[in-house]
Amino acid sequence: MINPPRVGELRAELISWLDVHAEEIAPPYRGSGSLAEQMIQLNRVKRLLWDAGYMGWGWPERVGGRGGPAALRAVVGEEIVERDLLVSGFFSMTETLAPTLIGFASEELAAEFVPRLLSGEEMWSQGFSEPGTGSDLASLACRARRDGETWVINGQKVWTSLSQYSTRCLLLTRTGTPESRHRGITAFFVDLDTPGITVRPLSIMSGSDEFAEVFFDDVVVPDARRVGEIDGGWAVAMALLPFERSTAFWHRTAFLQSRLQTVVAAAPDDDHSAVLLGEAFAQLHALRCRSRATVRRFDDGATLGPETSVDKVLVASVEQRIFDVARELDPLAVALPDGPDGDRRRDEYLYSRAASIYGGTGEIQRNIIARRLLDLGDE
Amino acid sequence: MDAEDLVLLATSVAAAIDSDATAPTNDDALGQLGWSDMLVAEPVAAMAVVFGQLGRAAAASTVLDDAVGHAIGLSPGAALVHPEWATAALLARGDLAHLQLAGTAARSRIAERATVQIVMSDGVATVDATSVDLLDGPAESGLARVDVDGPVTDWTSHDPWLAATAITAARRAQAHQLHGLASGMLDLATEHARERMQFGRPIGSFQAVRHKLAETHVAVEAAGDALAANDEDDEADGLVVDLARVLSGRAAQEAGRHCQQVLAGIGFTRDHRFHRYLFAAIDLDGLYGTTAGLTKTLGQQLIADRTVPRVIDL
Repeated sequence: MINPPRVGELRAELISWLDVHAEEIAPPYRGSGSLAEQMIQLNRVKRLLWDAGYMGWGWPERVGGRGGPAALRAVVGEEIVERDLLVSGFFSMTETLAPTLIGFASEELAAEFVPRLLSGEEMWSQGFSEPGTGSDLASLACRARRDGETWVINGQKVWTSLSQYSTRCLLLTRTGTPESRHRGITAFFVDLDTPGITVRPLSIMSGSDEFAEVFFDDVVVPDARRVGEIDGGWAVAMALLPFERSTAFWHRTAFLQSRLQTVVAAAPDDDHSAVLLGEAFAQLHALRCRSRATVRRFDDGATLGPETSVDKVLVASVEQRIFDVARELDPLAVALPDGPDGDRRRDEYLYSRAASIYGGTGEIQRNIIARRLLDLGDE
Repeated sequence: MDAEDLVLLATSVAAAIDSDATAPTNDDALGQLGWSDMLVAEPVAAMAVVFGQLGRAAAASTVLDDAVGHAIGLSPGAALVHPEWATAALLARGDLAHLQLAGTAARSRIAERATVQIVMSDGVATVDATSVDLLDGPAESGLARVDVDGPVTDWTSHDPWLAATAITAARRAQAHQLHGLASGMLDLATEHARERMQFGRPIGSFQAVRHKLAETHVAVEAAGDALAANDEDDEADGLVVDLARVLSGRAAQEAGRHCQQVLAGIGFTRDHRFHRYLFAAIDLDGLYGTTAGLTKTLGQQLIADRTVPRVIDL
């Protein structure tokens, strides 16, 4: 095995590789592109990075990775995202999907499938939320019933990002009694072409159809595709949080950095703009300091816990702040956009409205901070 | 200094200072703890711990003069005239035979010294204390406006970069103190929310109250993370320090607003300790620039460069 590079070394090497391959790796479309084009570009960039060896750093060798700390993945994502080569949120989904399989699936299952995700051969989705289950995830109802060596799944999922482009789905199901809450949930790794599965894209206000509803009608899944223990699915779902909040958030800071850069490049030279930009810049800096400390703690083997709710509140508020400033300084670009890049600015502004909703709402995070970090007891 | 040493130091500093004591008493206590030596040996850690703890306890002290003085090579104990309140820049030398300027100073230290030093953009001027007129101000404020009017008795020229290090040192110290104040206010309000009963339950069980405190916690943590990032680097440049200073100032403002609301009536009295934190935060947020002013300056720099620097990296 080759010793993993230091973060700075990897960054420098990647930057020169990206410069050399700039034309090859650039999106073939102007502006945002269609969702279908974005997906092709996502998988193409992952493939190029995989073939060049960059995509494997930070992942264990038993799933085809090259080892080394998670900071290596954080920095690869940062450089890719800041160059606008793909949709940052789509790229970062690897950060939450792969670890779940690595941590909880059988060794064979992880070794067979994780390389496909890392190399851009496949995309996966995550089936957690349901129409009746938003913030209260432990109330989920999509049912899995044991039948010999298989399970039969019935129910509905929603907000399963990119399911229409995915080959598999990490699914949370109810295996205990309806009242069993977090004690009666089991996770499965389901092929989305299994008979009985219907995927219906969900139209969202920012224009893209990246979310989907997924319906399960007597879907048969082998027990070998179970991820984690029976009734142990809550642990699987919770285990992805440290990954989301370390490497994936670091990627997001790179996206925010590039968007603040766009605003600064065209901002009017006046005091009002200076105040707004100064505030946004300071907040982004705070987020980066926070996120760097979290990535480092993660790599040092610390258990990331409720304190990462602070990271989550910061990332959401900084994202909304930056796009609020973008809109305030150039309202026309959001209201009546012109050209492909204009569409993107409107869409990204609208998408930023969801930053305090997805992945645990701002209210849930503040509840966690109050109860777990400030010791304010129960409500 | 490793993390364990820092905790030990914080504990002994916290024990040495007294939130009810006067500034000279706390200055003496810090002196006995070896403040001057610490500042020479481990300036970053010393400033982080001492100013952080002064903030946390809302304790009076004038050791900011030492921190600024140390940055430009003055001996500890010097009494300084700082720039006029809310002014970020240092003045250039004027008429040395008859120096006239307005500034800000730590009231108790100026009153005790025979000579006073004025840090200027191109050097340090020494004047007799009799040339410095302390103006009246709020009794609870440790700072006073001053008018300097008299001859310079000693002058040492220095390069502009040295003056910049004095400003950076001041802002670094203030950032820690403002962060400490914000954190202290949050502790007071959180404790109150746990104990204060209304409608038969602790007010901290109401989500409206909880979320205000959670919001404050996020601001305090954000400032703390920025401070930790700037303390990693002994040679941290002005930008990193200014960002931490702005975030700490913002945290103190957020804490002031939210914690006052949670503490409600009792927090508006002088019986409760909260007012000291608020006074200190109001006082501090103007030496070497206000939070609002520094924020605008950061933005102006972005516009001038048309670039958002990656200030820190993995």
